[in-house]
Amino acid sequence: MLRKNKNLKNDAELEPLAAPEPSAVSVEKTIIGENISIKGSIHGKGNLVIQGSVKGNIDLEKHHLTIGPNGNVEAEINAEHVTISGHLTGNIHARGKVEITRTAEFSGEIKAKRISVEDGAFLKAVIELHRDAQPGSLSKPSGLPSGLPGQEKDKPNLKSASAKGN
Amino acid sequence: MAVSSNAFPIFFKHLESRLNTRILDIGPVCGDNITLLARKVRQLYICDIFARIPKPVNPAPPSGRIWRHLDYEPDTFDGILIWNLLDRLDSDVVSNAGNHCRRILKPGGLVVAYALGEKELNAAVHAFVLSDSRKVSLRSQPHLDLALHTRTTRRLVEILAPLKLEQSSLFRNGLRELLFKKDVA
Repeated sequence: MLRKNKNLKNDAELEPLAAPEPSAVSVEKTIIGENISIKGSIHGKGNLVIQGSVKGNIDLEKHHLTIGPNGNVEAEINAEHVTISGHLTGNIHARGKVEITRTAEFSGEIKAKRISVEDGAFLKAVIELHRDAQPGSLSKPSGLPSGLPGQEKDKPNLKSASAKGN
Repeated sequence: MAVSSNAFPIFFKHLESRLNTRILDIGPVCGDNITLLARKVRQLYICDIFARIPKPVNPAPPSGRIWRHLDYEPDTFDGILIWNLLDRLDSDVVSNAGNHCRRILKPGGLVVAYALGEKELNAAVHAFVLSDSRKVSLRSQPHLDLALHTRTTRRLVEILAPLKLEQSSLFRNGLRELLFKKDVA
């Protein structure tokens, strides 16, 4: 069953007479429970947590999708942020960050601005970060020849560094 | 203790000369490496072979089918990263590693391979954490309980013989770093 939670961010909920600050506006979150299976497209303008099973397309525009540890999703996903702790097969397009925790099993493509992955996650993935702020990117041509440059020397913590096959 | 890689400066320089770079990391999954590498290439492919290696039980199940997970098109990658994998596969399986890498590597593509020391006693699987584009340190991966098959450097070179050895480094802590290249022709 779908249910909605309202998560108040600060102590404003303990003072009902006080007008809520803009930063304290509640973030609406929809939870798809463990015993729920959905087949089809999901469009929304709020955050979504999937603990059950979903197969189809998920479009949350500027909101956050979380796939819980027991979640099982096979979908094309479009969202602002995505957090994966469960099982996901499909492609992700995130304007913001994709987080993959150690309990996640993911297979598919990720296009995002940022990514974080915990050791232990089970991945078969293609990761492509947005290129607009990538000063360290090597993906553009530099005009250098394609051959291998010479080896660097004087590595103090090496016992040896030579071409060999002992 | 971190070591200063000899191979990665060459590896990254190699990528600079290429368009639409794609590299493949075959595990173990290390978040630090993914974050760093994904910013350096157009597409970072992750295929965690470690998570697919059968656990060391007696009798061990066949592990020869793990290569089917590298089901990529021929000549796909500019580079492949092999961290500790050659220490973890059975002899009959590891012998095919070179052919599989060669198939999916572009002409002129590079392979960086790491192996623990030949006298390594610590059987734990380690992630090789890359930082600052050349510092490499080890981080234990206790969730991966896999047998250690220590192999000599000569044997590692034989395993990857379908590729040309460009450089071999032995560090003070016993860590071995090998750089291979696929012929352009």
